[in-house]
Amino acid sequence: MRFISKSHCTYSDIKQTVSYMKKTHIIALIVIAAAVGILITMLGNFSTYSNFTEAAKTTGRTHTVIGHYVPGTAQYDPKVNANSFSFVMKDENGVERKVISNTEKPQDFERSEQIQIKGHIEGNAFIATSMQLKCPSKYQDQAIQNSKQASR
Amino acid sequence: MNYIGEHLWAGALGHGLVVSAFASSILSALAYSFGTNSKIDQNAKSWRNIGRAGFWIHGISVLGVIGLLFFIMIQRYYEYEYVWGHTSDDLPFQYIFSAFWEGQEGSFLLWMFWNVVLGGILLFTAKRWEMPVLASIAIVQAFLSSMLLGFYISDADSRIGSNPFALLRNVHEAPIFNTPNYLQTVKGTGLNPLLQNYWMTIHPPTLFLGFASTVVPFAYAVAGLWTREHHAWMKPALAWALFSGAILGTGILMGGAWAYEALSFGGYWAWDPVENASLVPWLIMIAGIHTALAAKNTAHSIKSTYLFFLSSFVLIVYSTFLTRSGVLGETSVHAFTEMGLEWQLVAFLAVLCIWPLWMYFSRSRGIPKPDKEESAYSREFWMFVGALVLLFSSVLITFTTSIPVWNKIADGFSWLFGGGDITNIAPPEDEIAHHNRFQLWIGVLIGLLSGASIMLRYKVQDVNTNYKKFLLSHFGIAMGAATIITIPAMLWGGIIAWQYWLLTWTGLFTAVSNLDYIISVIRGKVKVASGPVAHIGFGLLMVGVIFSGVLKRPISVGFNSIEVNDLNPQSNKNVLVAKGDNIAIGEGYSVEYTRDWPSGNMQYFELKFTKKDSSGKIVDQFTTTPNVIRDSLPSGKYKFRAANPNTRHYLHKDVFTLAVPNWAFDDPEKPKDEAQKWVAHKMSQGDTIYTKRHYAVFTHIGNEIPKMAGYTYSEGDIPVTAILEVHELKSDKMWIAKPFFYIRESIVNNVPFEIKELGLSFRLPQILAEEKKMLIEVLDSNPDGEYVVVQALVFPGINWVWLGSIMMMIGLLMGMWEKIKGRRNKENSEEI
Repeated sequence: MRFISKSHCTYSDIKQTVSYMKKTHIIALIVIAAAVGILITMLGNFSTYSNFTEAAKTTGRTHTVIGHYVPGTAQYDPKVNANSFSFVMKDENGVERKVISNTEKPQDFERSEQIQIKGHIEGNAFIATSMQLKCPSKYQDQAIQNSKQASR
Repeated sequence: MNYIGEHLWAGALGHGLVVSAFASSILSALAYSFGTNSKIDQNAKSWRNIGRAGFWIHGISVLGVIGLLFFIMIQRYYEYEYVWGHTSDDLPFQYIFSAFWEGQEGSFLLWMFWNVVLGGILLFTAKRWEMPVLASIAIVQAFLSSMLLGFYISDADSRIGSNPFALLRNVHEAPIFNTPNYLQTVKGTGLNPLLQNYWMTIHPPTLFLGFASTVVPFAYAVAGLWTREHHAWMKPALAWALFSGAILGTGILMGGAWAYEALSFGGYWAWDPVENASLVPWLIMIAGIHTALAAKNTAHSIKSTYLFFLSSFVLIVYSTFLTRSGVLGETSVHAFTEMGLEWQLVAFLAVLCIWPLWMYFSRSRGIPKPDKEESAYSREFWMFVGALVLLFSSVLITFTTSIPVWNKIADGFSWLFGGGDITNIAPPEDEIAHHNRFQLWIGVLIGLLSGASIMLRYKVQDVNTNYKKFLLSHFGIAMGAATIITIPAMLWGGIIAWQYWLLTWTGLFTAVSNLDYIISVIRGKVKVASGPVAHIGFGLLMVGVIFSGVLKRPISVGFNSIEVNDLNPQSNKNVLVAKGDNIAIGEGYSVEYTRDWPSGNMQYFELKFTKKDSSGKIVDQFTTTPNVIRDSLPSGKYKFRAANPNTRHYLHKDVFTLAVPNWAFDDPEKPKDEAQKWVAHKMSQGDTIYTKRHYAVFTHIGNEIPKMAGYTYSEGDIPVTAILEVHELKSDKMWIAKPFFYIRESIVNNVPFEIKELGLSFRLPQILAEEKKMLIEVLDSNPDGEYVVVQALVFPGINWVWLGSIMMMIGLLMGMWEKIKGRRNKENSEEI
């Protein structure tokens, strides 16, 4: 009988456990709860890797699109507007779309291997709020030059 | 094939030293471990001697590797890939250091160098902690050395480490290596021009000393668990943690200063994954310092001190994994490129997580804790809460920074869901805003905690009337003073949002409260002032962050984005200024592009800024000289590499300026269409021709025989020179052009005349005798003239950021100094 009564959890037992809990533990629990809450909010803040087709479907949210520059389409004329740069990008599915950004033209743009843009679609154009270029590493570049020299 | 001119001895010796460094670090780690476990004094002593010898051999090997790598870089032995990839013939000597640690292998060596130095210091000073502490450091060194081994297991894709002495011809495949004397044609690729400045010389060594130093509190924590001396390890560990906090903090700060001062980012902190990766271990180290202080004074928080000091170093290794494994790939601007050592880094990380965690959990039952819990009126309680807040901040930052890792992990489990990519989370659109949104509230909490808890006393259980009175009066002073300063400051800055008021207020609250503590509680005693000094620094830093962040704005406004209906004024920050023009920009400023001049591979631009008030009176005038780095191509064109800002400093603000010249926006590799550009005119004497920005008057025919390049007089020549006066449309300046025509042996020749300054060329290909005219052709190579696209940003209150951060570092160093002094005094008087 004593064995059973021990496993019973009375109200006073609970009260005692709560009062035995250290303040630091309570604070730690609060911190963990807050962290979980904020991490979930953060998730909503993340963008998604997608493509132009997806971005055209959900115009309301931010998309991160990776693609390639379509040669000859870069337009930047600082005499007209130093804060407007546009080009046509082909995404990984081969869909092409005009991309507009209100920055200056990034250096070495024509030679970029891959472009990553973040933004959303407005009308027919993708409005990029951030742009990152992946340029061919100088090593490859140089190696090719060296081999050219050698074959000459 | 026998290649000519290679110095293969260096590679053989260097690789031998790498292997020796690896083997000796393992020997040292094993000997020190056996020594620590040994119950018999005599055995322990022998093991210690073997451990020491191992560490000495290791240290000498590492120094040898570094010396040798420097040697082959100075000698420019391009047969070595590392030398070829990081130096070039024209690289100035002072950048050899930068080139050395530009690559992964070099920066691992830098890290190992500092570990050797720190290990050497501990070997002499750690006394009874020597064996367990150096055992940990030697294990870490073994892992780091293994990163340089360069052993191939089966094929080129699976290897252990990357050998810095690898030969170029073994790394790259090119037809050039079919010739024995390929070294004749191979030239180094040089150092990235962005890295050719003094920051690259001082920032990495400081940061890596900071990285390396986190291993010492880690090693002491392991030693504490290992020997089950849960109290004694914290004293020496705390001094080292303060050192580590100061140096790592300085390293991070230097990175911010570099970005702000010398790079075109236009800011000092961008929450880039690589920046975060070094900030998080620092935050955890600071949290550990606080719990260690509480533990030292009250015996509370020993467990959390263990965990903080252990995780700070583990997070350093995690950040190494993030930045060096290539996993960050597209998400960071300055991650290293892939080296193919991901699994090795993962193994390193796994061992460093599992081994101390196992130690901790197997021994945590023995960790002493006081019977009574901390009172809510005691300092130790709120210090612990503060440490939790720092941990909280670190979790939030790491969660976002690790997005690529989450994707990788999810991909690893994709077989559960039938394969393929199942996740595609990308970092938030605006990472700076994302992090600020959460971290600024952490700032508020830390400001309140550091301002209030400094007034609390250790081990207080209950409040008596005196204590209550003391607290109320001092909190009142701090809150009142903070309010009195906040209101005018915010009104002056025109900042309305209440969040920023609260942030500024909490920053000032902690600054005033800690200043009050120095004056009225410890009465200026420097010995105990380290904490308050660091806290004041933190408060001022917050004020600076708010003012420079919220009020940062471009004055170079003029264009608005029409296509992008963008209301954010910070993105419309470029204006075009033609050479010689003086144009009005924002806030009463005007900017004039007066001149430019080349200097080595750089070109400087002089920009004259003038600020007038509403009545037209000049209130301020200053000149900045931003520059660009460029490569000269064989075609005579320039290839733009990087723009370097130039900042005008005031006490209360900075004006950051950047200029990018017109040619930087053209593709230099695009062939130029010559035929289109020569414009022909039939001219008689007195005729005028116009280009877009100039006019030229054909005044007369000269008959002197010119001395010019491309022509030497020979008997029988018939020379004709057309003399043209060339004017700029909008200035009084005049140039003379003398295109030249001659007939030699009845063949018509001409020598064009170029006015370089204007980009105009004239030539005289034909004389139209019947019409009594001359055919004069003009080439305007630069019809739109020279111009620069200028960015000018104001950073109000930026100096508070620097002042505050420097005070934090000084506070940490003061704390370290006192801890070392205190220990020495104690050791002299009594040895417990």
